Amino acid sequence: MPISDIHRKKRQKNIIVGLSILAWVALIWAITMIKMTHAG
Amino acid sequence: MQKTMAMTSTITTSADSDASDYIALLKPRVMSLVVFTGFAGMWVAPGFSSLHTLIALTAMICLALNAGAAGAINMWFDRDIDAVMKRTKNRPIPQGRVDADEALGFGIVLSVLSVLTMGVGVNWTAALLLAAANVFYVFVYTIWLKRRTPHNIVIGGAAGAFPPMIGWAAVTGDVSWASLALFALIFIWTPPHFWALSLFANEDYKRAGIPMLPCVAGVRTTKIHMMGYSLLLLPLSMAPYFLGTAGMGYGISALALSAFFIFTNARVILDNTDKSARLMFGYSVFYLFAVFLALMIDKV
Repeated sequence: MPISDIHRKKRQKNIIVGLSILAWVALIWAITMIKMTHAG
Repeated sequence: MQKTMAMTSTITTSADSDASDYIALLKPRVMSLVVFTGFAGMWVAPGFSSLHTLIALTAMICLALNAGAAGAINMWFDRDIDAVMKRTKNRPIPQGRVDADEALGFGIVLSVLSVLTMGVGVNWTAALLLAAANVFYVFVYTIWLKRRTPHNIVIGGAAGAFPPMIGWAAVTGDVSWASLALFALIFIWTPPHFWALSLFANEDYKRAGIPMLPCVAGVRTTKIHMMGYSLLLLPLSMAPYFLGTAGMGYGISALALSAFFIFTNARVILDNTDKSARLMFGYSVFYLFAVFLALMIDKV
């Protein structure tokens, strides 16, 4: 599929959404580790 | 064909938005006050020093995002009146930079994610209070009260009073008299703060058809109502001292700050121009920051 004008315009937003999801997953993982350590 | 054209138009409109428009949807100035009072609630709660930094940070992020999400849903619902008010006409939805439905989706997703993350990452008492603040702001204030009654911000003000209680609950996992006192302080502070604004933005609210007290009951009645709340604020601001949450330093600061709050309100009553109302509005923002800062300094 060729990269259209809309793809280019939305690139910045898509990158931010992608990074936000990654950050959220990392946060949940880190909190889980902390809670497991303290529970132990 | 028509449907395709409509879709293209929608996509083009939302594609024109950038990250700053989504940040504007989150009402960053309101968010800063929410985060500050929430952090103060957390700071003064017993056991804060033993709370892991990442968990404290998660609680603050969830609080900020949830407040922002409620703001985005508010902008979606109020897009018609925002367009006619001078103060709000440059917001992303009335300007056509963000599609209304996209703003709603953004608000809902952030609301749900922030509550769930608070529950999983911090504790479920804080998450429940966070959800209650969101539901109160969106359904009780924005959808139900704002366009119907001049007491909209009296009852709706409860939504903005939740943050210190949420911060406290993030540390202790419960609700106590001390956290309820902080809730009451913001709850009673809200009417004079917003009525001071509505005194000099009266025409804007009239144009939008929002029944703010000066539009419905008149300027004089509004100023007297404001004074009632300002007087009540003095003993309430002293509550953390009487409950033993804060010491003498805080007690004296709260007394002085609240006395000056009453003084600015008295000037509003005596002055027939907008100048004193603008001053009181500015001072009211400073007041809330200062009272909570005094509370935090007292705990150091």
